[in-house]
Amino acid sequence: MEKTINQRVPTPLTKRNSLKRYIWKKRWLYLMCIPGLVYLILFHYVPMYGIMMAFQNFSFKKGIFGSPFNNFANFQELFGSQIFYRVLRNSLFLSITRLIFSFPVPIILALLINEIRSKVYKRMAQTLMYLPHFLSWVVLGGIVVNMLSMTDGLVNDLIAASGGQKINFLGSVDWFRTVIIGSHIWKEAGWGTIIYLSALTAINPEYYEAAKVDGANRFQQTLYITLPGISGTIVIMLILAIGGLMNNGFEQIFLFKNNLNQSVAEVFETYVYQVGIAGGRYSYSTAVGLFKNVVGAVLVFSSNLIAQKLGQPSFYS
Amino acid sequence: MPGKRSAVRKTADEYVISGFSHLIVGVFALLCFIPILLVIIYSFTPYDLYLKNHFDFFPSRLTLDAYRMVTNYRYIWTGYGNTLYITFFGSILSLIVLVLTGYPLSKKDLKGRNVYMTLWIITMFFSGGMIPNYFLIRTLGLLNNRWSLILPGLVSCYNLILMKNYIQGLPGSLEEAALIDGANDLVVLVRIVLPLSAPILATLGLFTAVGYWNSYFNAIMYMTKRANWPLQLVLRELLFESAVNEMTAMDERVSTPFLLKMASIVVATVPIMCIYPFLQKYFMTGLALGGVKE
Amino acid sequence: MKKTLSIVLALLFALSCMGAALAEDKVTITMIQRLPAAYIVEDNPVIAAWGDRTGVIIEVEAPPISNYSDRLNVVMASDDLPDLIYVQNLNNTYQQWARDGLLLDLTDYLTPEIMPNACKVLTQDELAGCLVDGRLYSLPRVQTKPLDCITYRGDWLEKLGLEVPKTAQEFADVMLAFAKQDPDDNGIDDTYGFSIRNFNDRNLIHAFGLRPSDVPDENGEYTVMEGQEGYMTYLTWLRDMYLNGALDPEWYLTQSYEDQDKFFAGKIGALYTDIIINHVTQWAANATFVAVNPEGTVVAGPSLLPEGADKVGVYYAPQVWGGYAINADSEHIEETLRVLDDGYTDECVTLLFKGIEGLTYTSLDPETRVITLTPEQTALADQWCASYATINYQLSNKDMIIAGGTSTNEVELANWMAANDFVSSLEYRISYLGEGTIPGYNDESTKLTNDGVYSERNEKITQYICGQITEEEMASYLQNVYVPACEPMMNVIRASGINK
Repeated sequence: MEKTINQRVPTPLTKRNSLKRYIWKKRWLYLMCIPGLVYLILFHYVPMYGIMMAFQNFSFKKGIFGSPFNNFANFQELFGSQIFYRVLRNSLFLSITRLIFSFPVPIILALLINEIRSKVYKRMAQTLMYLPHFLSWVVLGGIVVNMLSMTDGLVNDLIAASGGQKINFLGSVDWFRTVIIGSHIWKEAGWGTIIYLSALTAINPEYYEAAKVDGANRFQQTLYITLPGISGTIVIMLILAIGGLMNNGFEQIFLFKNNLNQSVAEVFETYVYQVGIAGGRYSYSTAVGLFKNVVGAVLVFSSNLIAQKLGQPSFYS
Repeated sequence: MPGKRSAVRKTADEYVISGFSHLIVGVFALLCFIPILLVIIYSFTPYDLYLKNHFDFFPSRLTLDAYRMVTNYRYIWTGYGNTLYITFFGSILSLIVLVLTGYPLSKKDLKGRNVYMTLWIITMFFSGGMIPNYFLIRTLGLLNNRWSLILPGLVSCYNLILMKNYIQGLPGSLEEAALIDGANDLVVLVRIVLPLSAPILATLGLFTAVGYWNSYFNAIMYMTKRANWPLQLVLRELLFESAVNEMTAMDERVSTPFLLKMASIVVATVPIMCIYPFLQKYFMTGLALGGVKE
Repeated sequence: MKKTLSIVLALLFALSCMGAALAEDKVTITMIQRLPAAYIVEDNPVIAAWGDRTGVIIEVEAPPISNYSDRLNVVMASDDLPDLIYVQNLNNTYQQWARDGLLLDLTDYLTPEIMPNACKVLTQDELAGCLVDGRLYSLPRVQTKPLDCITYRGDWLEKLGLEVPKTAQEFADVMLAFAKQDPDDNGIDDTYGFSIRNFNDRNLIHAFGLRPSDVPDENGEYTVMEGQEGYMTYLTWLRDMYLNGALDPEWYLTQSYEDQDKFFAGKIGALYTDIIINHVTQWAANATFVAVNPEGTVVAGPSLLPEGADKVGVYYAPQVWGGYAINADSEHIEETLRVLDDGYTDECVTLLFKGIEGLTYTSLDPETRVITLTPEQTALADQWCASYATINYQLSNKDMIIAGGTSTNEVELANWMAANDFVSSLEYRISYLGEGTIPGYNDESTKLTNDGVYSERNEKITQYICGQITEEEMASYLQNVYVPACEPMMNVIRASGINK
């Protein structure tokens, strides 16, 4: 009976019926989506009209709906600015280097923590590791500056005491990225382990038992069980990190930037800050923000697509 | 040195790996302890001693001046109250919505899921900015209401992706069995998925709580009365070096802001640091699945 | 029963309406102001007293001081503006608000009839910064600044047998002595002369005959300061001090407060930027300074004199700390004008800055301008008064509200007067208008920021001082890159004919 109907009228009506039936079957899943959807629309998509400001000459009196559009004038100004390309290059170079050097650190730390059997040691170490995350850059950066100072810094004193030549960590172009990435790892790597440690919990302990029976040593267990076990999380975190490549974080850069290293230290965040201070220009900074975000979105969706094509976990898997 | 699992035979490389792990993790942990230790020491050190030596771990004199100033400040206590409220209710509500949203998103074959997911991902990059958000909060009548600090940042897509990803990594067999038994999806979620998700709930709960604890920017826009400010905003104000913009003016930098800064960091961050050890047991390997297997 | 109840209720309602009407006799003026953290708006007797003086109720909103402009932007975009608005920066955004019609055009209100006090106190120069397209959209918060000075460690000078330096050469010699002759007697080479925070500080540049970019020379020609004759000599003078060790080698890392900290810590012996004579008296008594340097004294020195001159002319622009604007759509324009105008009376200035006699201070002598207060009064004054709360930041005769900054006794006052006399015997003030008051200047200046011209200049100068580039490179950069880049901005200045 059903079969014949399907054959006779492959119309929208039947499709709608089957869709209805499908939705009814999955009604609980759809119902669950409602709170999130309401939140998403109300707090994210309703205010989204603010993006129009990037294409406007914003007037406080007329508001976003009344301000005159100047189309791409803000973007023309951005792309026409003499230091735009230097800022773009600095931003990307720094964030890519940062990704390469700091992304693997929490993974390695998590794997190492996983190798520790003493619970007390493990807990203590973890707790200490995540502490710097809570300190702001102003505080942590101040400590780093004090440590690296040429005149009375701990590190240079040590170098001098061991007969070395003092290094100008803070006032040179060559050391800027090292200092930024190093202090970033110091601050965030411990906190970054949390997500991998929780992913580790999802690995079935039976696999380890089986591997042991097969005579796999610890290193092999890590390589063939632990690492694949958290690879999904690693890939997702990597995609997210790639999406963040346009961001370097204002506070940290601002703190370590000075007149001697600014040829590499000027990034989008510090540039926008300067322009904002000088001009207090709403539309222009919205446009710069939009440019950054479009690039970020393109990066995230394309890396997600690549992950999908490679059969790796992705947002849509 | 190694614990229970050492019943199985031990090879040389196992000792090497274990020793290596202890060493690296230990050294890194100690390095991470330095800054917070310094902050705590600074907060008790008279400013003149700090100026003489930035790395004096055993100052010859101690002072409680900065703590006295922090705790005497009128809005500290209202700030604490507001922050506790926001962090507590915000984290709970956030986790509820995260779970409810993350679970259907983990169903690959659910129609419309990819569209829904895409809508979420877009929010990671695009937002309307300060002015539309202000109008929204005002329209909702939430100005000077603590929920204006909870609702706008309720669910982050970042957390949602981690949630969804984790649920997908769980063994599907238990869910299927329950569905065949006639349980609906909500029952499966609550009875089967949730207990298995303790580690990720602890993780995301921690992320959310820390996020709420440290947030202040929305309060600048939505809270016109100082008594409604969260702790972080109150402290930012307290730390503001009062003379920066009036430097040449007659108001001088009266206090010792550095010491005050350190003391208020201790006051503001130590409580949130303390929740970690409570959640820590959920990050321990094998706990969740081990419990379910039996 | 029901009826009686309803009558009683109606009566009560009528009564409460009357009560409300009585209270509403006074108009409520709302205000947004940038106030420090310690300031308490709720039940503030000083604000209430100000309201009593002007016959209104004043309600103040105090957003976070460090994010004042964030909140103000939202307020300005929100279509319910307060009556009286403190604008922290009279920059492009302010001009845009004025042009958009959000702010009341005060040009025709600033008359002896409507605003007698403001009219009496404010000069055309002080108002210049508040003008937009020739119309007035706010009244300035002014402090005619007391004299700057260079401060030195008096005990160091004494120990090394040196005088307070007056010329660039003497300054360089003293700085080198501070760095090399162990003035703190601890046997370790750990002191420096000074640290730079602001290249073009007026305390240093006048010794080299430099003048602000918007001040013409005797022929009426305007030249950007970096292109003026003598600028390279000035930079080379700094560079020599860096290379011979007189200057703190890490001066370019110094953040806003650190040079003061270095001074307090006994690491450097001189400070110049943003230092006024008041600091000399205050620092000598500063608890931290005394704890680190028990023998330490602080003395004031003048801006550096050109070689052979016995007096130096120092350029001062009016010190305007933002302005007060009125909401163009305010329902109480008349009352708001009255409140604003009252802010320019000496009584109101004193009230907002120091509070109420007997409550927040014991006595304030109008002649000597010395204030006395008990510790309890000090605590209350911190809650209810602030320099930030003032409308005008000086007395109507341009004196500071409290002599010598915060003098609480005659000794401090005497010290301050002595230092003031010494410095002013060697300097004279040349008033001029800052370039920010020229219409169109901000746009050109913003372009230079956007294009990174300023940051490149700072980079080059820093490299030059630190000996990383040669004198030829530096001079050629300034003449061939920087000065031409500034031409559009200089043309705006030339067209305005300012300060002629």
